[in-house]
Amino acid sequence: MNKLGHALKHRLNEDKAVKYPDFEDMWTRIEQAGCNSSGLRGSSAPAGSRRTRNWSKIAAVASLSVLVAAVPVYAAVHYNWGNLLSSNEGIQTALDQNLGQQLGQSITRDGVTLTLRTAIVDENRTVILYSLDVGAHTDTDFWSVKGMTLQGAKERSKEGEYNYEQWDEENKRYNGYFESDWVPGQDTEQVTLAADAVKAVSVQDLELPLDVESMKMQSFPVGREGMQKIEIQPFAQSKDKLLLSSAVTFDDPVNKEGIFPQLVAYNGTTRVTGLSGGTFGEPGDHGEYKMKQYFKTGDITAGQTTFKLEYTKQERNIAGPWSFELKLSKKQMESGTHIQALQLPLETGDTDNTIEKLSVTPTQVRLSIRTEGKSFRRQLPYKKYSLEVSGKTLEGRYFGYSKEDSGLLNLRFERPAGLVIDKSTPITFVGKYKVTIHTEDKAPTLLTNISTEKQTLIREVGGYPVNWTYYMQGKDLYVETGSEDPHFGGINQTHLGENYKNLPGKPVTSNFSGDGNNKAIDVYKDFTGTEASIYMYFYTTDDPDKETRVQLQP
Amino acid sequence: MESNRELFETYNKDVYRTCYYMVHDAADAEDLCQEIFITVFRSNWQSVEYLKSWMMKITVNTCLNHLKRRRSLQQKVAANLHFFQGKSAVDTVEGLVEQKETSQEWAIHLSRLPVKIRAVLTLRYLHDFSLNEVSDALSIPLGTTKSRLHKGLKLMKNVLLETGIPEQEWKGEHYEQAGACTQASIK
Repeated sequence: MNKLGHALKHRLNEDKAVKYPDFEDMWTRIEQAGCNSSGLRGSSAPAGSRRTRNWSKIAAVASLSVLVAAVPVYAAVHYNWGNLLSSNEGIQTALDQNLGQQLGQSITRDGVTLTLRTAIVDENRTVILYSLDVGAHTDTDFWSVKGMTLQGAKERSKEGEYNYEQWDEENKRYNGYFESDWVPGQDTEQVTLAADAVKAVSVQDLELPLDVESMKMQSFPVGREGMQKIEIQPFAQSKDKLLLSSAVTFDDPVNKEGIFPQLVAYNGTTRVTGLSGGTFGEPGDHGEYKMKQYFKTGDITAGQTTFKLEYTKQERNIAGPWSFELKLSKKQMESGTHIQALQLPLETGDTDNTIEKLSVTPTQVRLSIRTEGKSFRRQLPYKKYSLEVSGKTLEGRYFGYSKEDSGLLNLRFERPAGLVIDKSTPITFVGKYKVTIHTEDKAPTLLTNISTEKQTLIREVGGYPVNWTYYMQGKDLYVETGSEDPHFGGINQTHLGENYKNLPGKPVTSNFSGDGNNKAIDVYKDFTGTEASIYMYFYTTDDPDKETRVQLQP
Repeated sequence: MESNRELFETYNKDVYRTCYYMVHDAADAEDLCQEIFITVFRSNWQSVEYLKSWMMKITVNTCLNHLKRRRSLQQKVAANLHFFQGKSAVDTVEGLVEQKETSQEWAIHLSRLPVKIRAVLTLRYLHDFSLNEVSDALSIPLGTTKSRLHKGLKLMKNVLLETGIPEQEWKGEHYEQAGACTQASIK
């Protein structure tokens, strides 16, 4: 450990450097939250009382708005939500059964009215449907509600909240959808739904004289919406796939929300459709907004295809507080809900992945799977999943790890209309497209005579022939790996051995597992020398036809 | 260890101190510390093998989430400054005085580093985690841990030089020569 390290260790561990809070007081608050000294677990009580300080600002904001408390009302009001709910079939199913709670509260500001229509609350989530009437507006403006959040009486709002809007041509207004993982602790609970602002944006663009034949980094000044410049580097990722790796530098690296820059290509007036797998917004070392976009080489003709930087510009900003006081209830949903604890391996012999909970509500089926093992291994080995319920297939939606329990993965399945699910209904989990992680190959790959010329060698990885192509570009060494065999999943990342103390290569590509793309590019900045021993962190193999079936009920 | 109380007594200082160095705000650190223990008590902690590593993993990740939320709240407050103008003027003066009084505090130095780097330094130097343990706690590859640690020490050095902290506070003759930063910190 070096001297600064020693000094840090010493200073940070100095007891007198930190003034501790009153731990007895804290213990009392923890006990009030339902956790006592006997070590009882599994309480669902809220997270304890807190000092009032944190809420003073929020309370000040809330008090500025007119608050109208609504009591739960259930009524058969049929409102056409168009295809707003197309990916949330379960919500439509609940609405059709009149399980929605009517809200009917409005706030109008600067001629724009936000109206809360219906709430759907069950054991898994809370959904609020709303409409936004913006009055007279230009066709090029897109309106949306920003920073929508739900605040329970005692709990802080949960993450995983999102909302979106859709233009309703028939009624000349926007329909909106808000979803949160928050659910009432009791049958009925008082909550605040608040939004920061209602904004209108328009889409703008700026033509860029990009030369796609040059594989060099090209820089263009932008000077709009806080964007200083964009740097773009084209890569021929394969003979028919072009990668544009780019980074936008902002005046203020922190303030780049809501601009959504992206590169678009046009042949004449026809917009070129990019290939899937692009990534946007990865932060660079100096706060840049990095993007990786893929195009079909055949769609791009040097000198003919034009490139533009497309971005959004804020046209209107009606600041809040847009704040509603609501009383939400999950009582209506209770009769159609059942939760079952399980202990089933994902497949025979699998000790890392166990299905732990099945929870069925009138809108959704949710499956909780515990994934053990090292952090990078903690991903589901099957990339496609579905449920078979009474002969009907419900496609799964991955919903990430539980916030309370970082080893628990939740999969969601929307409940279609007319499908009866009770405790005796047969339910089977089906996983398809297996991806296996391999860490055992620790042998180096030796790259020799490194120069600006592209050289390729073939080295077997896990029995698959893998092409290793390497070359210098400027001061940097590029290493591209990939195999013609689709069963090889790809190498996640490489590192330089020996002289470089496991220096990791910086991935230029986004290496997702199970996406059918096994090409990867790593760059080693400021490389000197003509030889390099390259090692792999891990690689994956794909088995698209492998399937697992687990009977969940009865 | 069997009871929640015992666990609380054993680790309350470690958890609080980590929160404090991560978020650099005593009140927030107190809230986070409480939140972390409630989370831990509701889980099956008795079956966890390496309890301290596990607790610190939860602690650092809770702090990272909090900082992420706070950044967005700060943006919200900045966008609605007219609601807070009276109060924020007072805050600024208080803040300046406080900053002057405690300018020697290492929490302030740490708070000037990017949060991801702060997390690595805190685990490595406050809790003496090995590089592998840091990687595991933050779910990042070993190479990333090493480069963040290296970058963190480099940034920290600049912060200390900028702040004008006397060199004897962090340099000592009995330590090895400079220039071997990365290698030396690999455990």
